[in-house]
Amino acid sequence: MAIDTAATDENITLELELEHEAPLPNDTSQNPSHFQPSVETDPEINAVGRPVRKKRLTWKLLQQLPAPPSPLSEPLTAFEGIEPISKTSLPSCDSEVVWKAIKTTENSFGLYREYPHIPTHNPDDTLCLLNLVDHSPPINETELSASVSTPLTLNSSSSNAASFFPFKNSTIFGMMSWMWTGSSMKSIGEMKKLVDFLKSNDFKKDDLAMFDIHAETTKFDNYLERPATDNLQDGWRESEIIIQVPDGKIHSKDSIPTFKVPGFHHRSLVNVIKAAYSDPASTSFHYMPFKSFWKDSSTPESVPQRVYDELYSSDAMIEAHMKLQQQPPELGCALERVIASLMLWSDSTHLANFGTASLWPVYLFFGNQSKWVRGKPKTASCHHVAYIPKVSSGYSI
Amino acid sequence: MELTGDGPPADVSTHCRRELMHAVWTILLDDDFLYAYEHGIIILCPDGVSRRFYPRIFTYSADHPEK
Repeated sequence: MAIDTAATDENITLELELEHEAPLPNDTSQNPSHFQPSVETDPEINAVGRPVRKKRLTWKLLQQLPAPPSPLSEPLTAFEGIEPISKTSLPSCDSEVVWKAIKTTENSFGLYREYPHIPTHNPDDTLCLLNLVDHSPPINETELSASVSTPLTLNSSSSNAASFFPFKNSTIFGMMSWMWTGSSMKSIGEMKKLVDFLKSNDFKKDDLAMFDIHAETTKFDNYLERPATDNLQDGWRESEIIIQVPDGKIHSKDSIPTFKVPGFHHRSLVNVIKAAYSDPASTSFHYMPFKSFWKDSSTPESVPQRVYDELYSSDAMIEAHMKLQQQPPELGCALERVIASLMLWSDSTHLANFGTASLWPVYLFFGNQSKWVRGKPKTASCHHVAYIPKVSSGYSI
Repeated sequence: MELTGDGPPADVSTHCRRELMHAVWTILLDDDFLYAYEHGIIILCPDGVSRRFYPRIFTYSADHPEK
């Protein structure tokens, strides 16, 4: 089945041209909802003497495989001068920034997009069938789009020198690692691990000259139990929240009684944003919002309907984007200006089915990503930015 | 409470929780974030192009425990 039927003529089309676009081939499998049974012929008789029932393909067989959106062809500079036909989404159009309705061609489902300007980056160009289906691919399929499935690694920049901390070198690290992980009984498996380590380049006999297992273990314990404020390299900070409390008496502005809630762990939103957008997994992010339309191809005179499926095809994002483009640029900066769309959640949870351990995290997701990717836990799309401490009802100041 | 000797009444607790949420957001929306909101931050994207990103909050779903 030709998935890229509509992509064969890869020109940027204007609205007028759309009316004259060649209709899709008159193949009943393309339009299952408009399936017309063919003319009835005289039924054949099978061996038993009954008429053979005309077999029709079921919906499952007729169902098309999911198709990625049609690609946008290479930007043609000649196109810039053509006036847009569709209106902008904002009421005020007196600035020079207009909505150039750059349309893609329709894909086999009749969906097409309209961009405000030529996008500098289109992550959907690299979508293949594997990205669009729910089931996990069979083992022999190796072409999995890495940009969609790689999880984000925020703390990926750790230098080699710091990686053995708190141990001085790789030898001690390896020995301590062998001692305190794995099984606590002697076994063949543990022996193999030890021998492999001893044979590797990470082990140097001279490093063990002053090695004392008690001292190293104590050092390790101290490291594990260090106070939380030492964790600055992760970007997590701990603060105290001060809230004002009414006690029924009149106070002047400076002497309102306050209540301190300690233990508010949080990290800088800006750092999380920077880390996420520079990570290789963010190639699946859309930087430019667009309008998505569906045109019923079986009735050529039908009006295209707007499709709202992602945050980056929503009016809110489009409005924010256009407003940003119309804002005067930063001094001396000619870089493309883009919206980083943040989606925040906060939810208090119990950590286990027993006991009272609980957390109240604040989560951050990015709307530039497709919801199909964002919703998959293995893509590590969720970022915890804060844990709110609970104010218990039995507190006393 | 040391001031009144009793535990806090229910509406004070609600008030405190509300204040807590507001205080949390005051801390999270720090100066760095407000600067980025106004002026954007330059980030080098994995396709090799640097872009100026302006954070905008589009959704916020919160569960606010009433008790």
